[in-house]
This record gives sequence, structure tokens and C-alpha cells, in this order.
Amino acid sequence: MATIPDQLRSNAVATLLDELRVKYGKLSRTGKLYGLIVADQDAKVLAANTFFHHKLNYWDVGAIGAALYGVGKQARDFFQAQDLDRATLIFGDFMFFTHIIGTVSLGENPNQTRELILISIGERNINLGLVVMLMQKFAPRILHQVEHDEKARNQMRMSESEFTHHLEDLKKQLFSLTESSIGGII
Amino acid sequence: MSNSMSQPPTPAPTSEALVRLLQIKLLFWGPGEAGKTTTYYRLQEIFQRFQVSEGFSIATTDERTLWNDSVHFRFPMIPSKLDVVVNVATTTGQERFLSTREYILQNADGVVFVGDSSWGKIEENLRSFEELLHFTKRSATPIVIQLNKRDLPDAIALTDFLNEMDLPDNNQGTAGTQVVYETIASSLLPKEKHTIQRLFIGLLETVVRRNMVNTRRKFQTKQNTGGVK
Ligand SMILES: Nc1nc2c(ncn2[C@@H]2O[C@H](COP(=O)(O)OP(=O)(O)OP(=O)(O)O)[C@@H](O)[C@H]2O)c(=O)[nH]1
Ligand SMILES: [Mg+2]
Repeated sequence: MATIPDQLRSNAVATLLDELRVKYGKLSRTGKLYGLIVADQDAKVLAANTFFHHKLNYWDVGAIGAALYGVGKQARDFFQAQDLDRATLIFGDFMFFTHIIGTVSLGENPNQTRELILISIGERNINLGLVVMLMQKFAPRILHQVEHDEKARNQMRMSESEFTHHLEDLKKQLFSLTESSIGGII
Repeated sequence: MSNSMSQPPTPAPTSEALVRLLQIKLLFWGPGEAGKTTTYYRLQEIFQRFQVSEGFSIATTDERTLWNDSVHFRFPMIPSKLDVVVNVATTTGQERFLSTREYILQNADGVVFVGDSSWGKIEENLRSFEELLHFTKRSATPIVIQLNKRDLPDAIALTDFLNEMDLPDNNQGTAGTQVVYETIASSLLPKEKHTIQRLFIGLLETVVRRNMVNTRRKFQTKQNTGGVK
């Protein structure tokens, strides 16, 4: 069953995430990467890789990733530290990262900006160095892609209520997909 | 900010050794944009001198709560030689962060349900309230209701609200306590802040009393099992 709308896993940013995952698979000997998501700081998910783990809800992952970014930012202010690079959660059997990719400008107004985050989830024994290296390597490309993607930029500009409607539309697409595929099987 | 408002009495210095601590978590729950975070800021103004942590808000660029807001107060209650440390937290009302709310609710000792007065929001109020009742059913957590945005031109009448939400007609709970408080959280008027203060202290007292009874019960049980009899 399709759990992620096509719009999120077939766009140009999603293609980059797929490329990142393939690269990781080729270079790493241990630790699977379950999924990758690009979202903005408001937890608006912009892209997910094609084979995002079917048991994970990409939406919750986006919300937790953005909350982790929020906590990280708060801690940065608390410690009067410099830039925040990455926040990590480690569980018994898996690992979760929020990596800060950079800032996108959404209009002429200088304070109309959003920070982009790359969220990755993988097995606990994931090759940490490799993932971080790949995330750093792909960050500028993802940033560049989002800057030139009008759909993604519009999504980030949406108010909370506009976004709620947008999500309902996405959900409808998913349901109609499932229904038509059931229809096809019968 | 006005200083003319009645504030709880300033504590006299007490010896730490004699003071017992009670830790409590009070939570603000309710539909999106009902005014939870606004009330949270009002509380920080009202109880400024009791605030012991800087507090934080994990929010979107639009100021919608993404995870929660959280701050700590320490209220010395002199006659009982008890200091109450209260963690005040808010949840997000946005549907898209729904799954986070249950976690924030965990371990809450009391809840303020913030409802939106707008007629158009009655369904959302109901849905969110039922969700809260569902989560708190087993723990029987005390709940008070803050009917916010009383200044709106299309504000629902209190009687209609009580009716729609299936609350007691006389606005009184079983213990004779007030159930719904009518507020304008965005207002800085002393009168409006005072209502928020009353609501908060009312809930706090209920929760403290409940905790004291529980502690005593535990103590008595221990004594009983310890063979004092
Ligand atoms: N008219 C009016 N507006 C209010 C009142 N209280 C809050 N608001 C406004 O309502 C909007 C939402 O307030 P918040 O306090 O952020 O709402 P919230 O319940 O924390 O919302 P979420 O975090 O998204 O769930 C803000 O623009 C407030 O200024 C009120 O009493 N009257
Ligand atoms: Mg809020």
C-alpha cells in the first residue's frame, strides 16, 4: 500500500534522497537506513525517499524531527553556542538524526525564511560517520533544489489552515490510489 | 503590565530544611488556536516572582505550538510548610501534531481545557474535549474549563456552551467548584488577568489537596502494614 503521497516521493528532492540512500548502501557494510525526509522547521514535509520504511509514519517523523530541531535551537540559545549542526536520538535498536541543511528565503521580506532539515532514521549500528558525511555532502544540493522548486516554496508559505487543507487533499489522493488498486486486483 | 492586581501574598523566607516539596504538572489542552499559549504567557506575567525556570516554547514560525510550552513556578505555602513546584505546560492543538499530545499529557496532575468561544469552533471544542476525557478517564485527573475569546463578536453564550459540551447547567462541579471560567487571554486588563489567576489557583488547590490526601493515605497504609496497630 502506498503510504506516502507521490507528490512527496517523486519530486526532484526525493530523487536526491534516493541517491543518498543508494550511496550509503554501496559504501556501508553495516546498519540499514530506514528512511530520509526533508522538511522545514515547521514540520512541513517536502520530500521522502521512495522506499521509506512502511511501518514509519512519515508525518510523525517530520513532527518529531522538527521538534528536535526546536529543542536544539533552544539549547543553542541557552548555552549561547554557535550554529546548531545536528540533533540525535538514540534508542535501543535505532537512531534518529535531524541535520540542519540551511536557510531558504521565501520572499523579498528578509525575515521570510525557513530552515530546512534533513531527517534520517536507521538501525542502531548505522555507519554514523558515513551518514553524516553524506548528509553534509548532499545538503547544498538539496538546498539548491528546494530554492528552485516553486511547489515546495509555496507549501512552506502556506498558513496553518491552508496547510491543513493541503494535507486533506494529499490524503484523498492516497485513499483514491488505494481504492483504485483494490479495484484493479478484483 | 499593571501592578494593581491582587497577587498571592509574598512569601516570607523559610528554612529549606523545614520545607516539604510537592511537584505538580498542570497542562493546557484544547483545539488549535484557542489561546493556550497566550494564557501560558499571561501566567508568566501574573506569577512572575514565583517563576523558577526560564521556560521554553517549541513552536512553528507562525507561533503554532509544535511540541509544547513549558515553565516552572515555585509557590511556598507557609501554613503547611509545603513548597509546591508547578510545571505548567501546553500541548499543540493542531491536528497534524496529534500524536505528540498524548505524551505531553502523561503525568499531568490537573488539566485546563481551553475552549474557543467562536460558534464555528464548537465541533473542534467537542472533539478535543472528548479526546481529553478519553485520555484522562483512568487517572480521573481534575479538569477545569477556560472558555476563551469572550471578546469575539460571535461568541457562544455560556448556557449554550454548557449545553453543547454536556456540562452541568449551573456551572458547578460535584464539589461545588466552578467548572467554566470565561476569559479573554489576549487582554492585559487586570480584571481579565484576575480571572486567569482564579482559574489557575482553583485548579492548583484541588490538585494539591488531592495529592495531600493521597500522601496521607499512603502514609497510613504504611503505618498499618508496618504493624503499628
Ligand atoms: N480575540 C481573541 N484572540 C485571542 C484570545 N486569546 C488568544 N487569542 C489569539 O488567538 C491566536 C492563537 O493563540 P495561541 O495562544 O497561540 O493559541 P494556542 O491554543 O496555543 O494554539 P496552538 O498552539 O496552535 O494549539 C493568537 O493570535 C492570539 O493572539 C482572546 O481571548 N481573544
Ligand atoms: Mg500554542
